[in-house]
Amino acid sequence: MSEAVALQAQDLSLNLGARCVVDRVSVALPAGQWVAIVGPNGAGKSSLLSLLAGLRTPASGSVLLQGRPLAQWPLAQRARTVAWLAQQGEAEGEMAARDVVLLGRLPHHGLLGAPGAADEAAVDAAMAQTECTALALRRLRELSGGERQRVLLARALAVQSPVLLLDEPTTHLDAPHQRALMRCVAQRRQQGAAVAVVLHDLTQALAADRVWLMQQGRLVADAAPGDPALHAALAQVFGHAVAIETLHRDGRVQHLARPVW
Amino acid sequence: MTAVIAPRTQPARGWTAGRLGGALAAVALALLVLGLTAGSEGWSLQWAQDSDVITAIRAPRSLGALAAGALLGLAGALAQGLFRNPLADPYLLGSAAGAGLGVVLLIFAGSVAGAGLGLANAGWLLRIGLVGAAFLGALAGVTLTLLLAGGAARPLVLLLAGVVVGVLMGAVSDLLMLLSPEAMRGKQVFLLGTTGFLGWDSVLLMALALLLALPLAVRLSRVLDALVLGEATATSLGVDVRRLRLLLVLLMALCTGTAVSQAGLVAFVGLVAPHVVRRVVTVRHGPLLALSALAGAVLLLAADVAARSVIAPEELPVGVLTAVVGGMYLLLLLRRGAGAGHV
Repeated sequence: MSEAVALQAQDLSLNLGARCVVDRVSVALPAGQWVAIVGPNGAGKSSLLSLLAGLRTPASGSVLLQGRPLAQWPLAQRARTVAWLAQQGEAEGEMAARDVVLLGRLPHHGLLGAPGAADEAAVDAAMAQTECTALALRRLRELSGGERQRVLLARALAVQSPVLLLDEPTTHLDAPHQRALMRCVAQRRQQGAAVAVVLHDLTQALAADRVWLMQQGRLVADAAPGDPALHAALAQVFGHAVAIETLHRDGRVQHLARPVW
Repeated sequence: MTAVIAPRTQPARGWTAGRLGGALAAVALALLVLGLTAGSEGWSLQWAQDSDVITAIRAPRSLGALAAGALLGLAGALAQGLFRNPLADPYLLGSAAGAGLGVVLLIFAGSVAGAGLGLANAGWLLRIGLVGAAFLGALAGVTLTLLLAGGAARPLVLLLAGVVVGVLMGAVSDLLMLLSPEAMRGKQVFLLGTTGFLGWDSVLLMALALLLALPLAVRLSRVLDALVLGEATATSLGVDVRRLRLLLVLLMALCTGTAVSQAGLVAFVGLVAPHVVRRVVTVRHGPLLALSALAGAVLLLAADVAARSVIAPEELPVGVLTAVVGGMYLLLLLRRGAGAGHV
């Protein structure tokens, strides 16, 4: 299971207007692995993620989902296989939080179907995981940024898809909820899911199985988090505003991104 | 999380979709009784004596007000969900003005051809033609507004574009009327919005449109639910956003066109009805659409009964009444929205 490639991008490019936001990127996301996508603002991280989710049509190149071109997947089947969490800002409205999470089950029960017991159970589990059960009846609009993020995250988790693509899921989350999210991602990967997460926090990113570093649309590095070459590339891409330090404690290795003033 | 936060919306007030629906239906029934008894000489309960007046005038008029209100309420709820914009409304989106222009064009064509058409003497075929013209006009109006606003993402820009389109289409209607004075009277009635010309054929036509649009809209309501999360997320959930949105816009235009072609430009019912529902219950779009139709029906019939009785034996055009009340409500929304950072 863990050997299979869930998502594969070949020579992927995307133009927005005259600007090339994703420039000939080739990556592979294996099942049972989680990848952190990092890079400065405007590096093309979100664009790459939405290409992988099939939400944009690439100018060139292709994306294979479980070995089959994305465009050949029926919409509903693809939606059951790939869950995508948008960057925050778009979701707005008067719907109750639980109904929002229930939307994650839409690919399973269909537009004209009604949610069944399995769907309700998946929603309960996802809401428990992101600790938003108590918000169930609150309206989306009334929630704070962090609360809303947890609800939207639960929506993505509720799909229970083998591929999970999250765009800056830690936005607005306090430290305990960030940790809960990281554990949840690790658990999904343990269960065999392929997870790609766009992150701003480099320390969090360096806890992943693999790191994709982007700059100006190009993939600058695709490396394990302990790779010294990756650390050097990170420092360079972020204009030497950060330095990576490796900490050994209790037999565990942790890479820390230290801001350089 | 340490403390369990008490849910503070729906259960606290104890309102469910079913209860609100029941309450609205009861109010509609009570208003219907009032509608059958309210005449130009005050309230009359002498059924035997008035039976002709009741069956030929008051009954179709009251039922027509219910149907037109329901169509407008449904159109408003559809518009607000489709464009993810709480200010969207057939009147404000330019689709009602477009429907009006469609009707005026048809009346104009009729008067040029020498057939004196009017809402009062319209026969069956003509009524269906009017619905068709209004439907196309409504589509043209909302398309033009969306083009002008560059999409529906910015509520105030959309509102402004809708006003511009409304004014433009109104001006074109005026021009047509200048060219053909005979049609002026019909148009005046029309612009004010009135329930006074609703006969049994209007009622039947609007009921048919409602029977077609409401179940279909409710069946497709999950699309609107998914759109709450944004277009991209809806697509990622397997929703064919483009095609289904077009279908829902067509349904909205059908509702608007049918209501406007029969009752004229009745403002703000479509805006207010969904807001009233959302104030009371937190629901998905399925119940929201159905309840908004019901609320729209109640609002327009209430306005109709009031329009008939406040200055009896004269009567106010119902559109004037809904414009005054709805306009104030819009102001209230804008004020509250400005404070909260969104409209």
